[in-house]
Amino acid sequence: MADSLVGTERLLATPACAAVADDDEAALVRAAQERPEAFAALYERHVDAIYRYLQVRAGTDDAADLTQQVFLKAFAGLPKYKARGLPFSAWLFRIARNLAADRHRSRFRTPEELLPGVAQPGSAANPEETALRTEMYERLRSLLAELDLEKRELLALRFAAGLSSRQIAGVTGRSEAAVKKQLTRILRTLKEKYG
Amino acid sequence: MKLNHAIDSYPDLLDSDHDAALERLVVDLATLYRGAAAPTVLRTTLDAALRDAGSAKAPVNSRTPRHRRFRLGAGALGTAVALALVLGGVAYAVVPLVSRLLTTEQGAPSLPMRTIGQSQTQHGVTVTLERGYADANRVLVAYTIQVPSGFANSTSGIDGKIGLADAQGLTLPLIDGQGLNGDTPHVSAGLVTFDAESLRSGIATVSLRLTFLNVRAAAETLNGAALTAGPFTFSFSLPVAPGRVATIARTSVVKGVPVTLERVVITPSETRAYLRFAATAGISADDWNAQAHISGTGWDSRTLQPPSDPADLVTTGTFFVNARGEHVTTWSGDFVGHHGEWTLTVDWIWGADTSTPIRQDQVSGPWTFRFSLP
Repeated sequence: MADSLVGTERLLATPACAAVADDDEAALVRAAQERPEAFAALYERHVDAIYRYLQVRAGTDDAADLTQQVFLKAFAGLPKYKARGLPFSAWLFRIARNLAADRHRSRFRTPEELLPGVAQPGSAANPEETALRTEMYERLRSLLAELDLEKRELLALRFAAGLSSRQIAGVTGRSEAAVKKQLTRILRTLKEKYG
Repeated sequence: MKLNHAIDSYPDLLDSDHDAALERLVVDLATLYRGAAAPTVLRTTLDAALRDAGSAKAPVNSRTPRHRRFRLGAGALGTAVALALVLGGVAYAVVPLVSRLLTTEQGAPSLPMRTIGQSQTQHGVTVTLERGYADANRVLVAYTIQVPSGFANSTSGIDGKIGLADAQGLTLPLIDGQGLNGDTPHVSAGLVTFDAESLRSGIATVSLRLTFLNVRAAAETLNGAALTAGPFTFSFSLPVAPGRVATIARTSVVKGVPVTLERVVITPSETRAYLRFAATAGISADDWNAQAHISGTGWDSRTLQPPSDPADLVTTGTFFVNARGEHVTTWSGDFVGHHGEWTLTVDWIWGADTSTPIRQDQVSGPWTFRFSLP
């Protein structure tokens, strides 16, 4: 994961940097509200995280289309966007959540899964290690399947989208402390079972 | 991915004390959730779409504050004294849980949900239908599931596992489902939404049968056997909240492209506009959408005071294609109280096929329809 992280994602993934990122982002939003072409910077900043989140939330088949719709909606709504205490990234992810739900609705499918895909073990040293890693990822995935949708979504927002607890709080409408507490509890439960 | 990268990237999840098992878990979760970056071609097509949208002066979605209405129901109560005693212990926790769950569904908190209050128990698993709501657009049912100690919470699963039919056996398609765990162990809540478009129009009450094919609860011990119970079948009736249907059947042509507004269905849970337009550019009709807004004397869905939840700004203007091939655009705000002249404007229509190669087409309007609602 870290090998593929770009600077923006690292900023978003680290709570200590979130305030800096939000300030920076507010400036980008103001610029985009004044000059539509400046929206490109916001797009570049968030497109991969939104796409990864939607892969988990709605499936790979729909992720590209939904990502496109997220940014079209955000672009359309930007002139009226006001932070109201909600960072732009949280607003963007709320759009993504709503559109994913709407897509389920449009296709008469349900968001039962919300699980990550099957991980590839990568370039392991030998076939035995590869097999072991594959087995562990499968086991972890089956543990995730036992979690309710709310917990799965928290993990998707944290790990797939790379949002900080504060940003997740903005997306889900909870306090940052509550998000941190719940993430900690989820990890503790998973750790006990995962070993 | 190396462990120190996990520590760098997820400091909020890792204790200052070294915990190898936790770090391994975080690393593996990061790997498992790692997805591909957005396809390059998406950037190209989105650039073009944003340029087009910019030139079309894309509108902003908005919605009206909902009218809060409550109606106390007289739903059937518990089935047996013993069951009532069991449920009594969790009732205090269950009520706020259901209420909390309702806040996750667009428009649900303000709907006059009727208490159903029916419970069934099998193999120690108790399923309770808590509340329900019906109008000409949507049926919502909230339920709770209590599993025995030793088993993890279950919201039953919904895809293909919960079915709703009316007294005539007509199946209502499931369109959404959500779940939430309670603070009380072994109790969880679920909310399922069904498309009510096929219900007979003008009915005051609808008799429904909701079936949970089975409820599965995983054992809390690693190698324990899961518990499966079911089917659970509930029969109940719900009042159908009144709404209005405006039959328009009018076609507007812009740039040689005809768009027909067939009708508008306005209910407390949702307003729907049924549109017809041809899919082109080799893109399936299911992948075409319309961006529309509605307005009347002194109000406009784009500029109405947004509710407290900013995300609601973008929950209006959803869309899907129904079984008759109509493109349905919805607004989740309550427009029942808006009378007089209405104008429905289709700002643009667009199609996007994201299979390879990605195809996209867009036609800008506006197509405008004016009609009167008494």
